[in-house]
Amino acid sequence: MSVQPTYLLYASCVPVSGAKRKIICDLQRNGYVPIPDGLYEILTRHRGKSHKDIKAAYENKYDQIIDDYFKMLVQHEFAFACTDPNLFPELSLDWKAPFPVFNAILDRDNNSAYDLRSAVSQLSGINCKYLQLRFFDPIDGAALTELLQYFETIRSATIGLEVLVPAAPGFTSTDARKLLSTFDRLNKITLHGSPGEFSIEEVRNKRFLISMPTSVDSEAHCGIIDPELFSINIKAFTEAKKFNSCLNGKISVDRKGFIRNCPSMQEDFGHLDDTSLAEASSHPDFRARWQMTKDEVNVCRDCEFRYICTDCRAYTQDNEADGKPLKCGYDPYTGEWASTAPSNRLRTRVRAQKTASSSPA
Amino acid sequence: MITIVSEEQDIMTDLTMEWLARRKTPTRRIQNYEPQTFRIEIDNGGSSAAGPISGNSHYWTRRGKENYIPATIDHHFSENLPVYRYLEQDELVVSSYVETKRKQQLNHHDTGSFFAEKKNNKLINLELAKSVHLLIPPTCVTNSKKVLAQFIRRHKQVITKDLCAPVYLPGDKGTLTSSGVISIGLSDLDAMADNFAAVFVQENISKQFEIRCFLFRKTIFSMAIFSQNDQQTTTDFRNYNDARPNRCVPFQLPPSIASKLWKFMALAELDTGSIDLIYTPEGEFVFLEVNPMGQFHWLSENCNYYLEHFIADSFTNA
Repeated sequence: MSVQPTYLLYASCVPVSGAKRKIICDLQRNGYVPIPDGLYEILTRHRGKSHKDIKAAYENKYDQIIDDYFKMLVQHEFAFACTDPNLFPELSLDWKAPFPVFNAILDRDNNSAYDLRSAVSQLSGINCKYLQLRFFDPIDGAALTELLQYFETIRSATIGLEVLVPAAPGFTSTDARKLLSTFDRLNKITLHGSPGEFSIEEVRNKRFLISMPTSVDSEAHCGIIDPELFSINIKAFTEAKKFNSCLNGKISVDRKGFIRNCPSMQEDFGHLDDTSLAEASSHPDFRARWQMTKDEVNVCRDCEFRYICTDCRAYTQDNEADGKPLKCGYDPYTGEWASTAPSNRLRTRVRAQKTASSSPA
Repeated sequence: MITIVSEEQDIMTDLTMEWLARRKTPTRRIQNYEPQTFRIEIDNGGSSAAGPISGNSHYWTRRGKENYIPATIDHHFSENLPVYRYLEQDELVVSSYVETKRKQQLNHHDTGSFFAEKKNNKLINLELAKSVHLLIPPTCVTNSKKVLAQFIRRHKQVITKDLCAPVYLPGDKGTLTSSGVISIGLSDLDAMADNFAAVFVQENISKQFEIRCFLFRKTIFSMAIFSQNDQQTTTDFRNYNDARPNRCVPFQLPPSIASKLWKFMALAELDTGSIDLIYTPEGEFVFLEVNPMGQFHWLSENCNYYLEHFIADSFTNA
């Protein structure tokens, strides 16, 4: 055992380097902090070396700075001193899921004609664990209740159900609370286009009612990249290292019944009327979309946020498969967030897509 | 058929079952409250038994035990009535027979035991740990104020914790629960009578960090818990601080300590359990206790161990 103290980062604190900036992702406490380049080098190239050896590696020119760095890291609980670094392995980057498809989005509007029950029962059949139902137009509370009751009658692996509904006289927060209190699978109802401010209410144990003023009237609302939305935890980080953080394990049915990686993607893999979700989701091209990590995406590959970012493969720079998300205002080469997102380009793009999807398939 | 006996809320059972479903392994989950039908026949020609005993390729007693009291009786009597306690005693005879038989039949394809949990004894375990040369905290159990005062005077920094299970007593004026591990000093004795029900005290061991080990069949998974940075968790990491959780990181137990833990497990007749250790500022490992049916989801998640996958594999590959 070495008697020289060695400072180690806690295993859940992982340094990530970008073109301009370096950060430590705190996967246990769900945050990140920027760190100086020199400290990044100490923490990565010299990991596991004793404090004395690190100072010696820099010919003892920066002893004071190195002392200060570790003092700060210990004080903020990113690092600790130990005498035997071999006892503290790095965090395993394993990511596993028992079933390939584990999250789904089903979009509905007034004109949707596809069989929602069939979609729900097929998702159960492929053991999809999480399901988001998005209603763009006002719905009748009774129809939703009926669907939730149907869920109770099938053996389903879907345990996390989230519903987005427009706030309207036909479906109010009172209706939402009632459903959240009744159906165990239902985790979250978001009332979009609600009057008043954004609010979250825990109706009962981990069952949430969210009211938000923004109206979600189409799939084009998705894909926004914002630090507020980063997923800073072990599961998301390890997944992003190996897979696409948005599309991996995802399947969706758009409002018209087309099966896609996500409702905003241009490519479809058949219509629910004649293609099963199992079939579509095992198509090699469908699976190929899951594989693109942020290390392969232009610009993103140089971004320090690449393993905590939510990504978007639908709205991308120049419409390229490996283009940076269009709704991301961050420039990893300058380390700055643009004050205005490229919203004009987005609007044109969305208009184009709307026109495209309204033509017969 | 793989059978898992568990509680409804146990997340590790849920997650393990997903992996078993992925492997299309026939699996049956028995909730600890679900009444089971059974048959035991013993005569001169031999004995036979049916119910949860037969037809298993692996049996995992994760939490709780099978229930052999029909719902009609279960719901009819309050658990506090003497008649219910009598029925429970009878049921234990059945449970004990079933577990013994099953362990014989399945040989090594049976993990966990309700009776191991039931007979788990902190005092015996401390002696077993000591016998395999693990360090333990100096410990005293007494019903005498005089003895308690002497122990506190001798060891200065003393803690007390539950001797058996945590207290949980619902009552008219609210629920009484135990406070986990707390420091105790001479002044705490002032209000106490000369004799009282057994009190469990130990010398307070200084910590660099705590270690939680999950042992399952032949493998140990460990996690270091840095509870010393937070006043709230210095004495007991279970006084969780949700806003700023203790740092919990993967830990590699030195082989010498791991081998002592396996010797301890063998002596305690346990094939699974969670062991709590302290790592002292001097670099020594001190054994605290074992929980045969302890929680380990937090260990699996914080260390990214995927224990659910490991456990499912250990059933299907065995």
